[in-house]
Amino acid sequence: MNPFAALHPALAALSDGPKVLPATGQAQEFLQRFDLDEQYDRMRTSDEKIVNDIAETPSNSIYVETPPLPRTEEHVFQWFVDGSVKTYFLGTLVEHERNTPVLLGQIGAAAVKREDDGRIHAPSGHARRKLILLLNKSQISPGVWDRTKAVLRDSSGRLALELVDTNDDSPNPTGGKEPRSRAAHRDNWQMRLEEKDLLADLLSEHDRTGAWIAIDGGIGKEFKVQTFDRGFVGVIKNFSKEQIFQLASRGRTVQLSLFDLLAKLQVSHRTAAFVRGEGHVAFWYIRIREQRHLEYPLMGVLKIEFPNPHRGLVDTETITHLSRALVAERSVSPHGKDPRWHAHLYPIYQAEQVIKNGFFSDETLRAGVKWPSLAAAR
Amino acid sequence: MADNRNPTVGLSGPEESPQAAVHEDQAPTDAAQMQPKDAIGRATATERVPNSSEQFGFWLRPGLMINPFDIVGAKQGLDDSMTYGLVTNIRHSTDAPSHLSNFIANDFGELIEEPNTPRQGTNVAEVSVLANTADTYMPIQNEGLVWFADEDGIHTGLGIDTMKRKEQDRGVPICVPAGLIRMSNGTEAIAYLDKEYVLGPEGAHVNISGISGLATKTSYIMFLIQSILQTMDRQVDGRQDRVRSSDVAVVLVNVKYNDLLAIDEEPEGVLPP
Repeated sequence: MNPFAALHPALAALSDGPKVLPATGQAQEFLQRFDLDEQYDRMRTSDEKIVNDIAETPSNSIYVETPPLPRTEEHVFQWFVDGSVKTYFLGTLVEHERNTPVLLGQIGAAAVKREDDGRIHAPSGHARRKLILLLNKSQISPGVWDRTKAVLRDSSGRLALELVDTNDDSPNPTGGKEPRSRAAHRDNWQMRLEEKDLLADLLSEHDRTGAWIAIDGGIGKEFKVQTFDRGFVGVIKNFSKEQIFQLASRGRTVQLSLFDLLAKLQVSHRTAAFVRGEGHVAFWYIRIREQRHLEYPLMGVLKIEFPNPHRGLVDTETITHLSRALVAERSVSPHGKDPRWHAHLYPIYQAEQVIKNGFFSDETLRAGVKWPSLAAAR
Repeated sequence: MADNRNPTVGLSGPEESPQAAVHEDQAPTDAAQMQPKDAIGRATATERVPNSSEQFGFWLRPGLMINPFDIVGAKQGLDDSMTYGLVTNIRHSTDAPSHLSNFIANDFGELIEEPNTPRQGTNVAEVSVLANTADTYMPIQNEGLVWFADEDGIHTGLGIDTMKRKEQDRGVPICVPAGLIRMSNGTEAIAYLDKEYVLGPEGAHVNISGISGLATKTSYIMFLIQSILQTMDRQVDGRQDRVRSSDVAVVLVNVKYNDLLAIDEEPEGVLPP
């Protein structure tokens, strides 16, 4: 049975009227070559490239020692969340002088739980998976859009299906001009919403047990609501290199680039905490691996973001405690499986695997979604 | 699963023969009767290591132990029959692509720190297919549940169930107790040989191999002769074979030393263990 059968009526509705220029060789994975972590971090911090103050108390040191706090001593982080997305270009829909690329996204988010003995597992109910069709609503007639949406709504099956307008960038207006890039960006945004939904569920676990949650990626404005004011940190593997730190030291102001700041950051140390986003997010950097083992000073460093709803100074003891627990996460690592292994937390990598292993393979998708031929044959 | 433990075979006289065990109902275990909670793993078929009619693999539930020569049963997903097989090897694999990755993942060979998250790994058993309850020899499908075989399952896997049926049909003793199989989970089952293959007409020999000098093969021969003689005197549904043990002469051909020349004599003192 074709696992994409539920999608075919929607594709048929889309091609009922407009012409379809299919992707050569059927669905093609749309490769986003740039590093998304870094790009999104750059976008989040674009208005705050210059950081002026240390935002923690009582410490005002630029570097703070954070010896590892292993799970066997205190099990701080017990939940790890990641999302993943895979976008395929299906073809171009042409209606008179208008056209829009049509992309299919496989998106998902999953959480893995680590038990006190170190075993990790993916509890049922803590994974989200969805197929989304992405196109520019303004480039097709309202009738085609509405029919497609209605058909998708009525499609029953195991798959969650959704139609998404790539032109609607109001939630996160950073998609750029190129239509396919906008669509891929929107796909990522939908994935982030799934992660957010999952995190909201997990915060009740934090409230009940005190277990902390580590989520892959930074804390965007989507988390700037009261629901997400505690219990988790965002872990950024690859971050913007553009930030400048102007810090007061012994009566004078010292300016440090991020390279300067991190070059002097020793292993098992963190930097001071700073804030961004009008103070609602605190962030700092932790070196989890020794520089001598790595090729580049910025390797082996995590950027940690932490909700700071009261926008005041963050507590030194709290973030040192969290940092110590994160340093202990350096073993084991996904070396050999992911080029970002030096800053990738293994349980987050496992959460990513949970999602990716649930995705349809490229071969299955190419065989199951032949548009417009399969849709027209119905 | 039922309590599979059987008493050890007694061979001191016909009244202790394993007649009851031979005559019990031996309906093959249906996969539908097996409880998923008792399963020890699930079948796994990959691009590089597919399952076939002759063999399959399964991953083992964490914390469980099995050993080579254990007999397991796997649910044949296509018709709910059970396929029994013999564990031939067990491999442990992880997601580390190289030994170097494991070294680096432990903070570049740091031995002091216990990994905060142990690497994901699994034990995968390789199984040689022995038999299927419905003569279905389609490969075990991926994700098929796997259990330790119970006594009936072991007998089905080894073809002993057909021996038992033959014995019932003909009303003469066929099943010669040949030893006890004990598996990693404690399940025990008596292993039988088909008399027609040991004494004829189908065949007339048994091969026994083992380490030299431990008096194990010779002891086993003595055990097997005793078992054959007792089996000949055993009744099946009140009937006995026309050839009884008293009609048989055992001939031993000694090929080394003179130990066996006095096998019919009582030993002097206690035998060394």
